[in-house]
Amino acid sequence: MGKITFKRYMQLVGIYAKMDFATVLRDTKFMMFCIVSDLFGNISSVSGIFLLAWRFDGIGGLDRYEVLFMLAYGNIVMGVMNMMGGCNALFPSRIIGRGQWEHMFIMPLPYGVQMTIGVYPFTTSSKLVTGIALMWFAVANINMALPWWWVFALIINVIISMVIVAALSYLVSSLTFYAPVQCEEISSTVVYSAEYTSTFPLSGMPLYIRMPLLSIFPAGLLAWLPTLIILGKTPILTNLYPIMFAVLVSFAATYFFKKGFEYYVKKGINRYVAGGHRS
Amino acid sequence: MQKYIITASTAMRSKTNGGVVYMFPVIIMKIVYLVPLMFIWRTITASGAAIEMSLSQLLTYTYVNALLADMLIIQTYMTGWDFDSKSTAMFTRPMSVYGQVISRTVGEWGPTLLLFSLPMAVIAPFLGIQIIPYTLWFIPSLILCISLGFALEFVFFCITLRLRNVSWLMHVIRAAIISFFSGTVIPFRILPFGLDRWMAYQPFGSLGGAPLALYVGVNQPVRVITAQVVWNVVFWLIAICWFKQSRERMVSFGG
Repeated sequence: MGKITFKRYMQLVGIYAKMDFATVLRDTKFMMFCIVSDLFGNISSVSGIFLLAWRFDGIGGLDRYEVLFMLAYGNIVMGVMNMMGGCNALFPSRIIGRGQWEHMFIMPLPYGVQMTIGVYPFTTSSKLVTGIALMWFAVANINMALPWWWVFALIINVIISMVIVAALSYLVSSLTFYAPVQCEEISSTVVYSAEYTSTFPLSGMPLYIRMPLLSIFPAGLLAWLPTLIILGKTPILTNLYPIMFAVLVSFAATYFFKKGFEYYVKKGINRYVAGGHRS
Repeated sequence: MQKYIITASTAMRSKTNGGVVYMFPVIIMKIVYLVPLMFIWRTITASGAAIEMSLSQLLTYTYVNALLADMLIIQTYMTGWDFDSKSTAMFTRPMSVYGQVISRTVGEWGPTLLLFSLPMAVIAPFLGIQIIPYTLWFIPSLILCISLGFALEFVFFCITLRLRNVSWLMHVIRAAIISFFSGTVIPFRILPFGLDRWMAYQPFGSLGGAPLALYVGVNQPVRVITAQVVWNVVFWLIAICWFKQSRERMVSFGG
């Protein structure tokens, strides 16, 4: 597996994007129905917490538009990841558990490239679009003057949150090398749970609830804490916590994923024996 | 009847075939969902906001929702993620399709009820949660909720078939819409803009939110159960007729 140039990488991404656009063109009416339905689904999934914030004029120190900002941030993080996850890049346990990891051995591309070129910007961007629209609405109505650098802070924090989600997913996916059948969906369980839990504003909650949600199960780092950082509501040292956590969890994910892979190379997978496939 | 009991029993065992230990992630996730929401209620009530439900009612509502989640929002394998022919296999067995879906789903509830709901119900009083229902009308309401949930499953399955088996899209949209419109996460009673006046009477409002409202005593049993009976009749008629017309459109791609 040789290395490829950035130009070749972008060409491959372009091929996937082109295929995605062809999907839209093949039956535009049907695809528009799917995309619009997805948009309504996304709005519906954040409506509950926002209506609560509206009803009580905010939750735990965050006003209603700050809560909306937080919900929008979470949508942007997961929206970008959904858009880039066409090859199950965010859910490696699926690839391993289905016995498809071996398929990647014979492809003339590095693993990282195979995993990340599946970008579908037309059919899977509805969460990102929802997030951007909600953020625009929140910023237009928020009861404070945002600093000029808030967009840069937003971009950096979104990247950090994405690293945390991806690292967390790869960390738990290492278990799939040992138990492919039982852990096939472990990454989606963890990622979707973190996504759901990240919609809760942690402001006002006691420390013994907040701390686990910022460390053991870091859903608070996917929306709540980055929102406070962007809105300038945290001390400077706290602003460094997400990046430190992202580095640590990335190292842990790399170590355990490699360890699991070594085990897998020696033991193989039972999905290719008779009756071993999903049934 | 015995064949359905055996189907339920097989489905129950299938959940723990790999060992009970593989149930723990699901249980942990249920607790992770439960705790932040319970603390949001504490935060809101502590802020002194005027609210139509007491803290005790809100905590019980959320707690019981977590305990009975599988029954309050029915999810069967038909609309779960039907890409690997599980639904087409229903027609290869000498049993009613409806019976298979219901018995299999009910069986799958078993391990969670035993390993999560039962222990959580036992420790509830120690956590300060009022676990005794306000009225026993909660029980018929729960049965009607389950029945409507199965009817809606068949309706959603038909929609999926008509939309060329876009099962993942339907799964995501359905989960997002039902979580809000069923009132299981946020009680209708505390919604703004007077939404509570009509949310309880739309079809999804007769799912989980209906028995929970009776459990904590924030709605009238007559109103709730009447709406549930009406929606059950309407949606079972739609489900039976539409499923009969749609089932020949089923396609399997394999997994």
